Parts: sequence; structure tokens; C-alpha cells
Amino acid sequence: MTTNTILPQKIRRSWLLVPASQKERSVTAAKSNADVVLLDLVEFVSDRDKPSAREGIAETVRELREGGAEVFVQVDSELLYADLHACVCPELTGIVIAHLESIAQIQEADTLLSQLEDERGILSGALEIVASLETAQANQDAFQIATASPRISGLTLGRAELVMDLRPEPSGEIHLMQYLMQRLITVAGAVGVQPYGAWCREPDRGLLATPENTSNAAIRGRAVGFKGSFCVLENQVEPLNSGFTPGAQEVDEASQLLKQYQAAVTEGAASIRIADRIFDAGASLQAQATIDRASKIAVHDQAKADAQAGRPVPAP
Amino acid sequence: MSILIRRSNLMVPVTNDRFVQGAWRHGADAITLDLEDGVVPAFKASARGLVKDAVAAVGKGAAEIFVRVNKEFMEADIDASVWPGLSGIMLPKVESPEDVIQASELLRALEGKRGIEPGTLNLIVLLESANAIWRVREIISAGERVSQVGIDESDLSAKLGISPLPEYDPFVYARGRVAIEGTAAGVQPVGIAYPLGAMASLLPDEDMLKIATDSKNLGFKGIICPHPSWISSVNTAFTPTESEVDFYTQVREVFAQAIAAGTAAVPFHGRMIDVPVDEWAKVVMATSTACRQRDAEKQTALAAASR
Repeated sequence: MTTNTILPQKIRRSWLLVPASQKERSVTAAKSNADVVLLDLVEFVSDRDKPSAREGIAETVRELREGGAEVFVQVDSELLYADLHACVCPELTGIVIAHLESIAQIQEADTLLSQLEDERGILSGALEIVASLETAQANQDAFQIATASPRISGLTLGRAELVMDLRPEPSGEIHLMQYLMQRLITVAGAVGVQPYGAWCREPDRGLLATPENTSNAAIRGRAVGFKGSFCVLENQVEPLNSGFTPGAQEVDEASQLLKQYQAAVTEGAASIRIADRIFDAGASLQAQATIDRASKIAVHDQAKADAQAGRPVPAP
Repeated sequence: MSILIRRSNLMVPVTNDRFVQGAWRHGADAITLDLEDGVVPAFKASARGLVKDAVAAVGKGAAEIFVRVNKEFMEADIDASVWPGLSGIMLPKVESPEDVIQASELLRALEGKRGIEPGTLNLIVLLESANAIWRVREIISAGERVSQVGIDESDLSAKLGISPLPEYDPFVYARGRVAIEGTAAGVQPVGIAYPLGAMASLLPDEDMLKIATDSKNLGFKGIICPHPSWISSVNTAFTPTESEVDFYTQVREVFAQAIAAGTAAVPFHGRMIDVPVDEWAKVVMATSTACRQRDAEKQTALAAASR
């Protein structure tokens, strides 16, 4: 069993969902500044359009990768063979498995990815899996799912589909959503993968979320431990990027605190009082984590800007 | 019904002589001498030499005495801590059942050598990672010695990369899991309602009483206190009030009369009194009695030591 308690530090704040059936959308997506472009073969592609959407999807993956974003493809847990054969290429970072129901499906995807890596000249084990848990059963099994393959790098939960299992309140909110989000974040932390999601409020989902509400959902999401979230409109990308980035003031306060704390430690004191707050070793670790995260994001954003400007892309 | 009363547990850095000498006066049910986060790295080794005298100094008010050890120096720290007067060890950063087993073995070996009744030293386990929260059941079931379990929300926040905001509690699930698993395993869950666990601060007594009462209502049995100003509110919040005791005394009488009259459910002051309410009444009254005994012990010791 994995006992990695340090979360991987890949910066994936914004995942822009683009229907693979709409080629023209991928052109604008490339300029959206999303950390990840998620080409979708599931939610926004009708059954009739799936064969044509699969055609040429690998080419789209390559084009998007050149623009600096990481590229994932969202595949159907029931159509893994066709979806994975269509999208696997060296420029792909990984797949999001929608409607994930069982550990067997993870194992099936893992085996298929291994075969395709082998056939297509991709480093063995490089392709990642993000599991989207959208049923009560999948959420119950979250830990087993997250440890079913070393490829799993992230977990998320699908709110719209969960409504089918866990009825919403009259407001549209799922009463258990807070519980489910925090359980997922705990499992992700225990396994050492990233939890993705935002703390949305009805009806602020998908197409209806304004940039401002997207930003608030990201800020709430980050405050409970999510590392990034999904969106469907380009004007939701920046709110996610900024909402999941420690603000300048926050980083400044963290630096100040750390300085004062370190000064106290050299004097022999292991905690400091500022006004009514007590800051201890844990608080100093929090401050350090905030500073580290902000500097990793700065490096990431610079690399993305370089790629967008056509400068050489560093190895992912 | 034997009930452990350990409502307030005051953390005191063993290297701060002024705090150590004054700790017994604050009325805490327990005092934990800190060798871990309360002691800066430069003093870790010398701090061990202070524990034996500190145990004697902080015990004057009849508080139970614990030592918080460093996980990475567990053996040396426990060896420096086991002296008559000690109630047990606070074990931080526990990640697995093996950590509990290792500490238990060390305690067992030292109890014999240092003239302490075998099996009496107990453990307060602190969980500080998502992994530990997830494995709480295995961890707290790993030995008979675990008496309490709590979350260090400050360290947990850092590990999860969370900068907590006061409006959005990130640990509703973690706290609930620990409260339920602890209760189920017969291990007292300790902890405090948001946001004081993740961001400790000093509050006016009235606010402190409210947050301590909220903590009791989350299922916790006590609070680890980083500052003496928390203690009296915490003790009050975890002690059944006089009006609760009056009410449940009457509940027991009314219910006994109902049973004698051939029914097991009876209305009383707008509430239905039945078996679970009567059972709860027994718990409240036993808790009240145990709190009174504990407070009397502390008062006697305090009076004797103050003379």
C-alpha cells in the first residue's frame, strides 16, 4: 500500500473541458492559459459523434501540448478500448476516467495503457489516470480505487451524477457534499495523489458559473484542500488559476510570519504571539508550504508563458 | 461506570522554567510537558534532562502528567520521561499501528525498571496526516494503552497544503471520523471546534466557553490547551451543568415511576422519556459525579500545595 503523505506538486489548477467533437474549440482552448486542457469524449459528445471525435484526437493532443498546457483526455469507463486506442500518444499526459465504478475498470485501463505505451514508444508507466468518482459506491471505495494502480495521480467527484444516488436538497445542494469532498481530500492525502474540485454553490456549475462565482468556488476549494478544478468556459480559467494560487498578500504574510518565527526560534522560543493568535511549529510549516507553493506556481507560469510564446518547452 | 475525566490538558514546554513552575496553579486536569514542537531543535537533547524535576513540579495540583515526545527521538525521550508521577506519553505524528506498539513496548520495559505498576502508563495519540486520519481505527486499536486520540489540525493543514480560512472548515470529515472511531474503540476523542485547532488564539472567556461547548457537542471528551487561559472554560464546558443534573435526576425518577406503572415511555417537560433518555441520564449523572470527584482532588491538592 502507498503511504506517501507528501502530495505531488504538479500545478494543475484549471482543467478546461473541451468537446473532442468540436475541433475549433481546441484552437481557442490552446490560448486559454489553462494548466490542463481536457479533451472530452464523454460528457459533451453524443454517441453518434463519438467515432468522428476519436478520429484525429491524437493530432489535437499534439497541437495543444505545443501550446504549453498539459493534455488529458476524458474517457468513458465503459468504452475504454476504443477511447484509449484513439487518444494515446507521447504528448498525452493522462486520462480522466469518467463514471468510474469499480477497481476492475482501473485495472482494465492500466493494462490497456501499458500495452499502448509499449506499442507507441511511450515510457512505461508514464500515462496518468485521474479517477472521477460519481456514484455513492465509487466514493465508498475511493481508497481502494486510488491504490488500484500506481498511475492514479488524482481524484475528483462528479456532482451532477451524484445527485442520482444522493438526492439533492430543495436548494439543489447535496446535503452530503461537504462530507464527500472532505473524505475525498482525506483519501487523496492518505494515498499521495491530488484532489481536484471546487466548492461550488448551486446553481454555479458549468456553463452558468460567472467568473466571480468560479473564483469564489476555487478559493473555498483551496481552503479545504483541493488543488485545482474543472471548467467549461474560457473565462473560467483565470478565476481557477488565481483562486488556486496563494495571493500576493497571503504570501507576504506567510513570509513575515516565518521570519518572526525563525527569529523567535533562535532566541529559544518555539511559538510566538501576534495579537491574539498563537503561532507554533505547525503554523510555520503552513507558512512555508504557502511560500513553496507560490514559488512553484511562479516557475510553472513562466514555463507556460515560454511555451505560449514559442520558446522551447521544458520536459514535462 | 468508570469515566475518565481529562477535560483540559495544558501543554507546557519543558524548557520554559517559569511556565513549568506555574503550571500546577491553573486547574488543568492534565499537564503535558512538551519535548516536541514546544522545544526548539537546539534544546532537544538538554530538554530531556529537565523532565524528571518538571514531573515533580507540575504534579502539585493533582493534574495527570504526560510528556509529549518527539517521534524521531521516541526511545530517548520516553526513557527520559518515565518517572513515578507520570500518567503517560503523548505520542505525536503517529502514522501506523507500529508506532503505538513501539511506544507501548518502551513503556512496558521502563515501568518495571522505574517502579511503576505494569500496564498503567497510557498513551495520548496525535494524528497529523491524512494517512493517519484514514488509518485511525488500526492505530488506536494497536494496544490497550491508548486512552485518548486527537488531531493536530495545524500540522495537518500544513501537510495538506491548506491555508485555513476561518469561514471554511476543512476538517469536518476528519474530526467526525476521529470522534466516531475513537468512541467505537473506547478511546476518548479530544479536539476543538473550528477554527481554534487550526489557528490557536486567545479568546474572551465567554467565546472560549462557547467553542469548548461546541467541541463537547461534536463528541469530544476534552481539549488540549496551548495556553492556560483556555482551561477554566474547557473544564466548565465538559462538566454537566447543575440544571442538566437536576433535569436528568428528575428524568430518572419519572422513568422509574413509569416502569413501575407498566409503561416504558412517558412525557416529561415536553420530551418523551424512554430507555435511551434514561441511559443518557445515567451517563450525565455519572459524568457529573466523576467531575466533582476530580475537582475535589484538585482543590485539596491545590490547597495543600498553596500553604
